[in-house]
Amino acid sequence: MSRIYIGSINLVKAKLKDEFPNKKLIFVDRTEENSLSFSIFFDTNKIFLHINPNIESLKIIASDIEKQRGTHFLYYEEDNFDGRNSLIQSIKKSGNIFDVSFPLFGDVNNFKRQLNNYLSKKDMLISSDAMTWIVSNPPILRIKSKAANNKKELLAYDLDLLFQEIDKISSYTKTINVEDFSNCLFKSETDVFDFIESIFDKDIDKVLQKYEEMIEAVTDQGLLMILLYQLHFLLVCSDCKEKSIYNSETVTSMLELEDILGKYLGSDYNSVSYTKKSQNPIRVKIEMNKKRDLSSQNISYMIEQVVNTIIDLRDFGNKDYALPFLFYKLVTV
Amino acid sequence: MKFAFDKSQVIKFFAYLNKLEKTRLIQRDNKPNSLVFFSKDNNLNIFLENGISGCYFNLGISCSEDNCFSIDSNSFFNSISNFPVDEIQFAYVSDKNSLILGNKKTKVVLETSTLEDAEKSYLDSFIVASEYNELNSKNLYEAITNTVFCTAPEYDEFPYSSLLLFEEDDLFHSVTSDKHRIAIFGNDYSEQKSLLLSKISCDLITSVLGFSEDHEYSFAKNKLFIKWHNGIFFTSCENNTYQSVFQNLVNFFQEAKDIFSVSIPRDELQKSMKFISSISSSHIVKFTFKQNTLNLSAVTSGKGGASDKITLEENVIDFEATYLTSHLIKLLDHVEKNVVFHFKDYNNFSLLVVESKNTKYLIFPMQ
Repeated sequence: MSRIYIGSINLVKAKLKDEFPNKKLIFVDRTEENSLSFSIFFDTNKIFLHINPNIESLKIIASDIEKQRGTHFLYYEEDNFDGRNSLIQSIKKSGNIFDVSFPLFGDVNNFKRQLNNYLSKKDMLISSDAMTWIVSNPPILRIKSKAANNKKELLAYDLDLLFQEIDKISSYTKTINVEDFSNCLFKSETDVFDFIESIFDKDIDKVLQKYEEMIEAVTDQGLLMILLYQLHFLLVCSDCKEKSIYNSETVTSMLELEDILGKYLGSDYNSVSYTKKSQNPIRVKIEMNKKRDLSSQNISYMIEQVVNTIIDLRDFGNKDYALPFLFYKLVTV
Repeated sequence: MKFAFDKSQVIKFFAYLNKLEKTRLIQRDNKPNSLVFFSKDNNLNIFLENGISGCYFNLGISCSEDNCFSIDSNSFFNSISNFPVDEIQFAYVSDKNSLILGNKKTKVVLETSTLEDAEKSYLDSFIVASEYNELNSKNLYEAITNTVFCTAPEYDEFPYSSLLLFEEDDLFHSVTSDKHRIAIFGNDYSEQKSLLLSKISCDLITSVLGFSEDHEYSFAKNKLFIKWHNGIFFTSCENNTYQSVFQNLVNFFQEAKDIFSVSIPRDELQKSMKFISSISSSHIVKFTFKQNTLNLSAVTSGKGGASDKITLEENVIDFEATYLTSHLIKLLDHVEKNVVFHFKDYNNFSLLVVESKNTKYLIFPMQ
C-alpha cells in the first residue's frame, strides 16, 4: 500500500531508513522515466519516493502500483495535494498519510524535543546557553496549511537547516556552545530584518557598520528590494492605523490586494491572470500592535528615496556613494 | 605572432576539440574562450579542457614568435571549416585582442582573450600522469563499442548510465546494463579494481583512438589519460563504489537454466524486425517458435499489427517470449552473422542470451 509523507524531506528519509533498513530509497522527480526504466529483476527491493508528483505522475504511479511494479510512496512539502485524485483518496481512506512537518513557531517544547532527539541520535550534547540562544534565534520558514479549509501561511522551525548546521558542527565537536552557531546560515537571514529595523530606529552607526555585510549576503539590489517590500508593508499598516482600521484580517486582505485582484478586466477586456501574494497574519498582527513614529507620508517619502536609489544604481551609479547617502536620508525622516 | 596551415591537415583536430567543447558535462562559469593556442620554441600547440575532459595537440606548425591566447572554439572551427581555400594564414595581434585569418582575397577577424600563462595551465591539466603504459587500442575500442550501447540514458539512475571498465591479463574488460539488458565484454567482473566512465567519455575515447596507431595510457587523479605522438587526451572517471551492482549482473548468466538454443540468420531477423516494428509502430516483438519456423509478431494493444516468418535450419521446441524491439535491433547491429540465440529460464522468465565477438549479451523479457 502506498503512503503520503508531508513535511521535511530529511525527516522522511530518516524515518524510512529506520523503518525499512534493508530497502534502497530512490528519490523520483521524473516519474515517467522512472516507470519506463523499472525492472522487476533489479528494482523490487527499492522504495520509490515521488517528490511532489502532479496529476499526470499520479496516474503513472497508480498504474505501477496496480501492476505491482515496486513500492511507491508520495512526498509533498506541504499538504497541498489534490484530494480528488483516486490514488490519494485510497491512501487517505487507509490512513496512510504521515505528517513529518516541522514544529510550528512558538511550539518550543516540540522544537526542543526534536532537537534533543536529533542530538542524542548523533551522540552530541548542547550547553544550556546554546539551547537558550537557539530557542530565541531559530531558523524559520513559512509553510502553507490547508487546515480548516482555509489556506494560511504559518511559521515553522526549519529543522532541516538547523540539523545541517549541527551536522557541520559535529565534525569538530561533540558539545555545542553558543559560539558554534556564530557563523551559521540562518543567522544572516534574521539579520536583514534586524538591519531594516535599525533604520527605523534611526541607529545610523549600526546601519553604516552593517550595510556592507548585508550587501555581501543579499547583494545591493536584493537589500533594496527587501527594504522596499518592508516599507510597502509598513505603508499599508500605518495607513490603516491612520484610518482607524485595526482589524488584522481587513489589513491582511488589503495587503493581499483582495480589493483589486481579479476585479478588473485588462485593456483587451479579457480577465487578467494573477498570483496572490500571501501575507503572514501573525506578522500583520505584530505590526498593527506596534507603535511607530512614522506616518504614511513619511513612509511614502522613504519609498521614493529607495526607488530613486534603485534607479541610480541601475543607471551605473556607485553603490559606495548611493547607499550611505540613502541610509542618511532614511534615518532623518 | 604569425603562422600558416593547410586546413585539410588540421581540420580533424579542430573538429574534435569543437566536439569536446560541445559535449562538456558541466558548464563552468562563463568560460566562452576556451580553445587555447600557445607556442613554445616557435612550435604551435593547441589545447582545450572543460573540467571534465581535455585534449592537447602539437600541430607541428612553426610560428614567428612565442605567444599565447584563447579563442571561442565554436566560432574558430566555423571560420576555418567554411574558409573558401585550403591554405590559411594567421596573424595574432595581441594589443587588439584579435586573430586575423585569411589569404589575399578573404579575411576574417576573430576576438581573442589574453592568457596569463598558457603553459602552466597546459602542465596542470595534461602533465599529471608520470608513468604511461602501452595501450592495446583495438582492445579498448572493442571493450567500449561492444557494450556502451547497453547503458541507460543519462537521466536513469546511476550507475546504470555508466560503463564499468577494468584491467585483467593486460587487457580491458567492460560491463554495462540499463536493467533491461546486460553486456559483458571479456572476463566476468568480480572484485577487480575498476572505474566508471560516462557515455560521453566513452564516445570521446573511441574518437581519440583514431588519431594514431600507437597510444599509451595512464590513470591519475581520477582521470584516464591517453597519449600519442602529437597529443594527449584526458577524461574524468568515477571511482567504482557500486561493485555489488555489477557483480550481481553475472549471476543472471550463471543462474539461468537452458531452455534451448537456435541459430538464426542475423540479417534476415534484423530485416523482419525492422519491417514489423515500422509497420505496426509497436515497440514489443513476440517470438513464437514452432518446429522449424520462427514467427515474429508485433504486439499492439489496439487494432493493427504485423507478423513475419523465418524458416530455421532445424526443428526446435514450441516456445513463446516477448522482447523490446529496439533492444534486439541494436543488439543485432553488434553481433556476427550466424549467431546462436540461447533462450534461458530464470524464475519463470525467458531470458535471451547471445555471445559474439568476445561479448556476452542478455536481454530481459518484457514484463
